[in-house]
Amino acid sequence: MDLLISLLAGFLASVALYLIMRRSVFEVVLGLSMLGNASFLALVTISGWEVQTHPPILVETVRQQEAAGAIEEAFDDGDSKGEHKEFAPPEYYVDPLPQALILTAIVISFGVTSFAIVLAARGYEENATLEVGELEAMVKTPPRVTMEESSPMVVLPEEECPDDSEEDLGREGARELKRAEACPPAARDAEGEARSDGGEEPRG
Amino acid sequence: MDNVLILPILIPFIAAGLCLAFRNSLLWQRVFAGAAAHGLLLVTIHLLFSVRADGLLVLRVGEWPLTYGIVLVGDLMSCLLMVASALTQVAVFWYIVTGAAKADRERALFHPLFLLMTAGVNWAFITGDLFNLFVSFELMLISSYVLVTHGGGTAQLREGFKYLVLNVVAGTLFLIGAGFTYGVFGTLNMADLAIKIQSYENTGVVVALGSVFLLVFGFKAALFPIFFWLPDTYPRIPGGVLPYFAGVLTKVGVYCLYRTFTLMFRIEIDDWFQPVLLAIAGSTMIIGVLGALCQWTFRSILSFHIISQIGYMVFGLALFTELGIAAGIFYIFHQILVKSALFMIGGAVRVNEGSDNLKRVTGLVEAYPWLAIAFLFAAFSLGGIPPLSGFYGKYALVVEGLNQGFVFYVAISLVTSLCTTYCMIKIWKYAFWGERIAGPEPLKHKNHGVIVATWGLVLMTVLVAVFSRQIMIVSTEASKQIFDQRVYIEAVLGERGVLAFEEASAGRMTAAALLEAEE
Repeated sequence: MDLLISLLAGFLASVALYLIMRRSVFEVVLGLSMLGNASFLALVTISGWEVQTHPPILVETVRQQEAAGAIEEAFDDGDSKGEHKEFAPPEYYVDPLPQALILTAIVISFGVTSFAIVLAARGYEENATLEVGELEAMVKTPPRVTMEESSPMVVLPEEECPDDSEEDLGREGARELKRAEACPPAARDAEGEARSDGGEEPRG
Repeated sequence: MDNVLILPILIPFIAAGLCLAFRNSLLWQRVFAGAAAHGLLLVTIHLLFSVRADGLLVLRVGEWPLTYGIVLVGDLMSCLLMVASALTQVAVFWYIVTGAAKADRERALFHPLFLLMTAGVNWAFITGDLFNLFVSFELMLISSYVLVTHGGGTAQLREGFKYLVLNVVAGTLFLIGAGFTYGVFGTLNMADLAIKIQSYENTGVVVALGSVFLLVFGFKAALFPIFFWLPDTYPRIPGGVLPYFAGVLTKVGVYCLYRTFTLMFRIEIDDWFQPVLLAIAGSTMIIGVLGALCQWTFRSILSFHIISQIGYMVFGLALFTELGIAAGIFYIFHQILVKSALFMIGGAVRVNEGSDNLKRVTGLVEAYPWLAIAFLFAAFSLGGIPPLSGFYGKYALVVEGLNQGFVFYVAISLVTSLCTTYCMIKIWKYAFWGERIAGPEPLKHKNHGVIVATWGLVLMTVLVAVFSRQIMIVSTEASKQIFDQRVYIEAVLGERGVLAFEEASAGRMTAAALLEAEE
């Protein structure tokens, strides 16, 4: 069983990595949730399934089972026969902690995946594309096309947008012009040379 | 029971809940966020003093038996870092309120998200078991995803999505690492793990698990091979919270590296982790600063500098001596404040001038003399010019590096320091000097509040320089605490734990002696 689960986890992880490296945002989201599932399966194996097959439950329930002879039967290896056992040996029960870890991790993964889907949808509303490559191109030349049914979320004015490449170029252009007027041509050339090294924009 | 220890997590949580309840009223949100920030500062300072007076604080949440329940542990290092992050939080709060974030942005759940993020940060600083560390990371990250994409510009969405994907992958690795650690050692409590690892024979497994954690925390701290997400993401983060991101979030990763490698994955430190950490530290320093050289906005220059400064902190850890770690802790404390202050200055320029591109902004000295003075203090502190706070941390690192004989890495750190100063001079030359050119539509009123908020934090960095001796003493004490694993183990598990630990290390020593005898 452990081997099967491990193989399955490995298979899921490889599928997830393939999906994460795709260019479509939606496939990346699918890949993320699949990677989470692979890790949960991997964690299942550490709680020990081979012999520890019984759920760790309250003492009362254990006593009831004991009374019914279920535990005695399972550990009926000869020498313990007839002795009264208060508790079954710890090897009898599945370790509950990994299950708790997985449960917590599933909840977290659920939240993150839903946020990723919202983010992908928001990107689609803004740019009408799910391809990462097209988004790259769009950032270089700020988008002019917005979808008709734009979302009700507050769209901030461009000036306020934290990306430098989307700042209003109007004022800056005018400022450059002012600078050109203020300096005599020779000085301007020198300044132009001094300032022309490096690209205009810091990063694409 | 030191119940006060849970307050650094609880205060921002409750305040975030209240902010959500009053989501339509900006005034109430500000009141709660402000009260939380200032309250946190007081609580963390109280914690720092009480830890210094009485030793480590330990809180077993819900009085569960040890190694099963959740444990919160406050030692000097975590308290120092909490104080620094609370100081940053207060400064950033005033910075947001005075106009670094526009009102409609600030109204849109800005404060509760920020508070939840700080709750995650404080939680990561004081948690005593690995799985809680994972959960606190996720809390911090989920809030940061929303803040990174807050406002929803195209570039923000693109970078925010990348940030999310990379962090989810790193988080999954963290989960797998924590799970397998439990599978191998049967515990997630850090103190218990320290004992179990000490008595574990198969060092290969320890190295493998330690490397997983090195990868995960190194990703969060933006160490050399996996730093690429940071300079893409940080310039897109809304100006209001950017200083907190820059100052504190990456340092959480560094803190976790310190905690993991001093307390738990220590047995192979000489053979494997120290050379790896040294190489990573050296390349992180130099590559970060080389990236910064060709950038042209405040934000992107400073983002690359975050990476390069992380290299110094990891260098302190990699030296793996008491003094080296003390210097590293001092350096982290100083960096949290200075880096946030520099980002606040960059943001203040942006708020007032509409841009922080060095090619568009000139002559700031004339228009904002106080901002220029603030920049001088913070920038030269970052560069490590003697009377300012950066000098002391770097000096201690260099001295200890030379004592340990790592001349090559010390040389790298000095070159990096020179390049850092060069970058700061470049900002000064282009943005602050030069002839002032009035735009065609000059801003009607300058925002001086932002500059005042910035000065608050800059004053703190100056105070760090003034009280550098005292802070260095505290960092040395903190380093003594984390360098001797027994202090931590005794605080969490008591006498019994120390005995078990000593037995385990004695067993390890005799095993090593036997091996040597065989050879």
